[in-house]
Parts: sequence; structure tokens; C-alpha cells
Amino acid sequence: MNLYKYASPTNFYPLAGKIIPWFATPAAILFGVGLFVGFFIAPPDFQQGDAYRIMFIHVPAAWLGMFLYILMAIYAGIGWAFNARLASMMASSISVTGAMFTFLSLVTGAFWGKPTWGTWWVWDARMTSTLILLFLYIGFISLQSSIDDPRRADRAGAVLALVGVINVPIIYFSVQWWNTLHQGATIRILQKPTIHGSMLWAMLIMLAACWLYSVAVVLIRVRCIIVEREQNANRFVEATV
Amino acid sequence: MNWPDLSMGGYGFYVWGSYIFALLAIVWELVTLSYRRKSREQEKDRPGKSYEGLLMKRRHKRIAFILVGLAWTRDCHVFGRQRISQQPRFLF
Repeated sequence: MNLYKYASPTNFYPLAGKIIPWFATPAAILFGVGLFVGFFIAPPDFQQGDAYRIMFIHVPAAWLGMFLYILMAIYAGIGWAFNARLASMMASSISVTGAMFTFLSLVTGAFWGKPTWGTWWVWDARMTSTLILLFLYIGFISLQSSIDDPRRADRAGAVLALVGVINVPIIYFSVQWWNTLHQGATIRILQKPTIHGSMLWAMLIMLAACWLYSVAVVLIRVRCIIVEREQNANRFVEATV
Repeated sequence: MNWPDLSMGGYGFYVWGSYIFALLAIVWELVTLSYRRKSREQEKDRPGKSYEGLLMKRRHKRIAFILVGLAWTRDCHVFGRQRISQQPRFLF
């Protein structure tokens, strides 16, 4: 089986159409399961009461906002380095979903911050760096939209995406490097999590749901981008004949 | 199983507000994507718009251009010969 043939947008288009339901359906199921576990099984927090339940959407949104940016930068870099059209299209497709999740993490964070910190917003290191991440997403989308030639737009966007990657570790380690209002990491890879098992499971299920949703939406969008760019190519051919 | 009250212990506005906002964001993304997908699919399915068809059209146009060019040069040549041949008759 030659997987390299799927690097071509023409070959990838039907494959993406086939695999979208395999991500969209589990995403819908896991959203339901995650919300059920989060609202009906997970107990109230001893300090925050029920306000902590915002975590089940806030944390997955924040993680995906960061992870999708890294993924977008990798795709943009591959597209730039190897002149791979599909990789650049994937980067364009990921950017919108990543921006949506970053915006969602900021808004849900504000909703969580008001009852726990007493303020909607503070120029905290974690929040400010996340806001910069949102601006980077918006900048990437705007830059690509403002350049008519898709290949030039891809190259310009790739530069911005690769430069902006430096912001992701800053977001992640900001709670360790600076004194901030934002709490430190609750879940670490090498250490035991400090939250109740049901809370952890609810969060992980919601994370999986958000992740599957992102894959499905990105694939739907990349199919649209493939068709749009083919049409642009057709218009170019029409204009030159 | 815990049955949480809708007021969420006084934090209902913040908890439900964040989830409603998340739902709206996801619905917005899906609706805009669906609209975009439908419009692109309609464009894609329009007859006579395929990439291959346009390439064929361009190839045909190129051939036609070459043929017209050849005919034009031949006409010029004939016209030139006619003019050369006709000029003396017209003038003299």
C-alpha cells in the first residue's frame, strides 16, 4: 500500500470523505459520555463546589488550542520545505479550529475566573500568552486570506506559524516560570494526578471528544479547501487560455 | 450518581454560561462549515468545470490557434502574391 499517493490532494479528497464519519460519530458519543460523567458522576469539589465543572470544557479547549498550533506549524513547515500542497492546506484547515478552541479556552477561563478569582480577566502570564496565541491564529488566517496567490500565502503563513511556535512552551511553562493567579498543572505525565478519578476520566473523555471533533472538522474543511484551490487553478487556466 | 441542581450551588450562570458558549462556538463552526461545503460541492458538480475538461479546452484552443496562425500566414502569402500580381495590372 503506497501511502505517499495520499499526499496528493486529488487522492486525499475521497479518502478524507470516507474517514470523516469514523471521527465525527465517536466524537458525538464521547461528548455525551463525557458530559454525563462530568455532571452526574464526578462529585462537587470541596473548595470550588460545582464551579469546577467548567474544567471539563476549559482544559480540553486549552490543550487543543496549543496542540493544534504545533500541528499547524508542523504542516505549514512541511508544506514550505517540501512544497507539499496538501500539508499547507491542512495547516490552513487546522488554523480555524485551533483559533476557535483558543477563543473558547479564554472565554471559559473568564467564566471560571470570575467566581474563583473574583475577576473576569487579569494580565496573568498564562492568560496573556494564550491571548497572544489567539492573535497568532488570527494573524495566520488573516495573512493567508490577504494574499491571492495560495502558494505565496502558504509560504508567508508558514513563516508566521513557525515563529509563533515559541509561544506554546511559554504558555505551558508560564505557571512555573512566573508567579501567576492561574493554578499549576493538575495532570503530569510522570506523576499521579491530583484530582479525583471520576473528574480525571470526565476530562480525558471530553479531551478525546474534542480531539475527534477537531479531526473531523479539519478533514471537512480541508476538502473544501481542496475544491476551492482546484477551482482557483481552473480560473487561472481559463484566464490563460 | 450525583444529581447536580441546575443552580450549580450558586455558580449556575458561570457553568451553564461557559457550556452554552462552547455549544454556540461549535454550532457556529459546524454551520459555517456546512454552508461552505455545500457551496463548494455545488460549484464542484457544475458541468463543464472539471480541471481535465479545461485542460482539454486549452489544448484544443492551442491547436486551433496554431491552425489559425498557419492559415493566416498562408493568407498573407496568397494576399501578398495577389497584391504583387495584381498591382501591375491595376496600375498599368
